[in-house]
Amino acid sequence: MIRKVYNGFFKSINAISITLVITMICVVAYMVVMRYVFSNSPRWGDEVALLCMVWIAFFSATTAMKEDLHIRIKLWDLVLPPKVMKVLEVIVHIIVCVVLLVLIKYSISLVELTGKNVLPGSRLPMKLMYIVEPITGVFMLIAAIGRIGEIIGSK
Amino acid sequence: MRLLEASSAIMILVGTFLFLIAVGVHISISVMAASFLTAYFIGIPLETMAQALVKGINVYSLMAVPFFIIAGEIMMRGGITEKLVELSQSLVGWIRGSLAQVNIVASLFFGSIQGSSAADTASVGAMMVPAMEKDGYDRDFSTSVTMASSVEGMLIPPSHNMVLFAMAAGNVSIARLFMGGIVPGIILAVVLGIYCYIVSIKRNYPKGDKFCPRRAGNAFLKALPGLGTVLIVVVGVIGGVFTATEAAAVAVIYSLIIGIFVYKQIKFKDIPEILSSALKTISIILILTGASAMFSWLVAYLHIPQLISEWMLSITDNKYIILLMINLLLIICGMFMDMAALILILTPILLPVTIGLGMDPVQFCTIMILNLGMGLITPPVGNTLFIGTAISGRSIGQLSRAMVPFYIMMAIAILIITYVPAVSLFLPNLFMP
Repeated sequence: MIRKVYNGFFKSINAISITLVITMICVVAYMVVMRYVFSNSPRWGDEVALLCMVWIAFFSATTAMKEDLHIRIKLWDLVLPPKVMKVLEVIVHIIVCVVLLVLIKYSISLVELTGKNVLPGSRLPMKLMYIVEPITGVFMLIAAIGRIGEIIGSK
Repeated sequence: MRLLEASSAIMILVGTFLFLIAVGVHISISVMAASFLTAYFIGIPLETMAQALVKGINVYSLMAVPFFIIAGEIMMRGGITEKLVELSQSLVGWIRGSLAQVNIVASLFFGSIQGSSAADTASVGAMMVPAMEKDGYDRDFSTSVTMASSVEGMLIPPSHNMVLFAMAAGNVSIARLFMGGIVPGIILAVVLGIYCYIVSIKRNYPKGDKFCPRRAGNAFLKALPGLGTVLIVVVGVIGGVFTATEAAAVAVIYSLIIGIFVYKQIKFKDIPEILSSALKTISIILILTGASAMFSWLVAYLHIPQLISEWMLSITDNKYIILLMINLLLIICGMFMDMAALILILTPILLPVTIGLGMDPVQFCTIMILNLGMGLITPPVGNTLFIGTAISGRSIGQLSRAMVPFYIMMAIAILIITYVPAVSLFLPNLFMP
């Protein structure tokens, strides 16, 4: 049951990333058309596209954490016995959790510092840019804990 | 006191980073951890680091990277690989050891679609290695050719790794970088081609059919819609019509149209799956870019490039030896780490050093990509090498032994590109002085 919710949750995160990618492509393509055909590109365009990319980066990083896709050097698999390897993997993911907790703590206070500032072109609140950090920080934390569960559960 | 503090900060930054990646922590997380610790040590508010993480991604020209990756993914699904192989076959099939040469030339074309060495090895290799085996080539040899030639693709524009370099370097024109990669990419192809020719004569590998202009023309026409991406980028970016980001977005739409309506290999319902697969690469690169922005903020704050320059100059003041040292450093780093990560992390450190030696950033970019590209096919860690083992069924040890002559040929190409600046600078200086 928990596994189902867990997998479904990350599937929906992946769906969000895909939607954001499509949005980003459409916005930039729209900007190109407006700029070259009508020589009148809206000021919000670049900001919205960039906002999409920042969100894509963090959301897809969450899925990548769950699937263990982030680049890492695996030197020890070949040398260490599987049991020791398992312990090492757990330690690695505990380190990941600690780093993510630091990230979450300070990105929350970063969001607070942003206050009522807005992005110049689109007038969107600047908070939108930074709030993705603590949100996906928590998601990545869940993914990292899920990895620990998988490692311990694996034979 | 101030100096002491700075040097301990550098030790914390580099030490934590190296320790964590050696343990096996994800590179992006290791960079974050090292940056947070160092910032904490020198009393910089950690919010600055959290902000650098987002700001590093919130860069207009970086958008070209996901777009190029998506366009490449679409083209590959669209069945472009077979057309490029057929085109190469019609062009160089008459040479002795034809399939080896075809493999090398196909990678050159493939690089204009998709700037990833691993993707090249996976798709060109999946076609060429069985075909070469059928023609009597040794499997280690054919896999080695595939892997070595896949590095060409990263020098041929559009190359998302060059966009990453431009980002990490700050003020470098992407158009100049794109121009600068073309000749070095071809030089690598020629160097590899010469070696394969010699081997083919020795082992009496077969020739293909005679050169036929009509066949070449037909193959070219079939591949042309797919090669249109490179036209958009080359004409658009280098001609100054588009920014790289715009050209890349246009390339995405264009490749979709070609894949759906011209090659008819993609359906609308495949799009989410294609994007999902492209996102696997994109996720890794974008978050690394953000993390390394934290790192390079600290690198600049702690004046690390100056220290490295001084240290190198204290060993020797011979420019050529320093360049050799930089090459060696890049190859060694490349043996252990992925290209995108190293470009993002090492560029802010090494580029100022090489600029101090009077080198053009464009040349440094090609040197870096070639060195790190070689790192992708060397043990112990190399993405392309891993894919090579997967498609050939040989072990890493067997393949890396078979690769030794190719390593030597690539080293020759690296030396040419390092010591003959004109190789990388001729085209950019000609078209955009």
